[in-house]
Amino acid sequence: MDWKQLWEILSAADNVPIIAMIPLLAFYIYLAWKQAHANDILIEQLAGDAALAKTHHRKAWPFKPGWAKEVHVWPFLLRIEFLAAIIVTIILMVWSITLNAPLEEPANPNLTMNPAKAPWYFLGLQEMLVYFDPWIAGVVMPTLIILGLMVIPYIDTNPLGAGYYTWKQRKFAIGTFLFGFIILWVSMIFIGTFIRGPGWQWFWPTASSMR
Amino acid sequence: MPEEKTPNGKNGKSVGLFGRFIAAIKEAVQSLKSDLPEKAKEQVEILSKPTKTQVYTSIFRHKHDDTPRNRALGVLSNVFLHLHPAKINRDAVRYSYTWGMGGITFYLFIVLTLTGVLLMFYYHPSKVQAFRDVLYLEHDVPFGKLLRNMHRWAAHLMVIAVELHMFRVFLTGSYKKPREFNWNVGVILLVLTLLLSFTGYLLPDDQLGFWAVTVGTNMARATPLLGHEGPFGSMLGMTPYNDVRFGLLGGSIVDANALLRSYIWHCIGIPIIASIFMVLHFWRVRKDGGISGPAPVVLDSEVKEAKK
Repeated sequence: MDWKQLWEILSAADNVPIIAMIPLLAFYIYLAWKQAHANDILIEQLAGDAALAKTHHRKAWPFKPGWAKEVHVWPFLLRIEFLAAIIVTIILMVWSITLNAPLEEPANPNLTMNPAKAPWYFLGLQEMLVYFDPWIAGVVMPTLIILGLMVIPYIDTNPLGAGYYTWKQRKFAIGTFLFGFIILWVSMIFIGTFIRGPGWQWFWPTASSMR
Repeated sequence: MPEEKTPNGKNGKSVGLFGRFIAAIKEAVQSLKSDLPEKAKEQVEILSKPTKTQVYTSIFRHKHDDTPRNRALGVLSNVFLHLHPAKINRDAVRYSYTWGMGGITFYLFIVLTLTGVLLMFYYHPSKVQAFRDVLYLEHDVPFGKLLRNMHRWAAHLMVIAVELHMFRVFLTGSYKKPREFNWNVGVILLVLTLLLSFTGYLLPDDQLGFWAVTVGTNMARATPLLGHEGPFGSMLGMTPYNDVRFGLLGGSIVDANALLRSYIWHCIGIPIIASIFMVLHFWRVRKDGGISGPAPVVLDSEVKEAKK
């Protein structure tokens, strides 16, 4: 391994968001899975016991009879929003002080950047250019992704799992979305960013062969 | 006899009118002399309780005592907060459920608008000036570098936040009836976010932006029917000088017109469109019954019973 080269790729300013996104994504998948698991256990328990299903609180969170079902937005929601705004601002400030936005040489049509990369969130589509004609990868596939996302609510007629995390009630829907989002979108971005070098060739950050 | 019919200064009446006028003024001055200190004292006393002043009560239309009514009014009578209901389900504020990514996205949009407006003061969208303006911004403008960094990183964060928001909405099935339409609005907002970021990429007019936009718009050449290299394009008379790529760039190459076009789309066009869709998105969240959950779990058997 050429650690220096690996570090140079990973620490390139525009790659930091992707590095940041991966632990974030892992955290939120864990958060969702934890709640889906708790709900699935509850669902199984209630499905097996009709009498319990009539009386039991239908959420994995505790609820006691004396508690109010609703809370005031002021302050219970607004304080969260306020806190979130402050935390985001702090993150943004620290990030902006410690890391400079990239600025290359002035634009020069006669000097082709190699590799010339699209912004990171489009690298999945650029990676597709390797496997498909430009009109498929660059036009048809984005259109299909957008249309595909839009028709999801009309295709997924499963009435279960609206408003709570669950895996067992929506295995196909969630499995498909995870495949599309994690495998096809995020990992293609990852490949396009970190493993594609000059000439859009595979570019493992390993020793000598790269020099 | 009505006074306006009296000719000025021709008879005694007008003199009497003048006299009365003087007397009235004298009286007013006298009353001011005697009343003013008292009135001033009154005002100073009110100032010691600022919430009782007319100025204060004209701005804040409700009291601030900690009562349920005032908490509700604090949200409902405030234009910035009234998108919220007065009360929400106790579980709807659970961060582990909501992730807060929609709100964070909106907050980042506000941050980007503010920093973007400040950046516009230092930027000319022309080939001669653009790159120099960025250098000037980075090296001479006080906090210019911080400003540019914040704008760029907030943009990247916004893309991440939008994607995580969509991920959460999918995982909780929040696009299901009756929220199908709002999911569609959200998809449009996702696309607009990506386009906003992409149009901003070219603006520093450096190699990075230039080639990213070149790669991006070269794909438009291959658009079926509308691009000159795309299927059926040439049959419909598409050339590099009239196809969809030409329309995007304002020319056949990425040059001054492309810079101006992406500047206008970035700073004016897309923000306006995105704002309209955002208004729609937030409005529909409320109209579709607020945030989707956390809802009570539903059992398979119950759904089948309901269908019978």
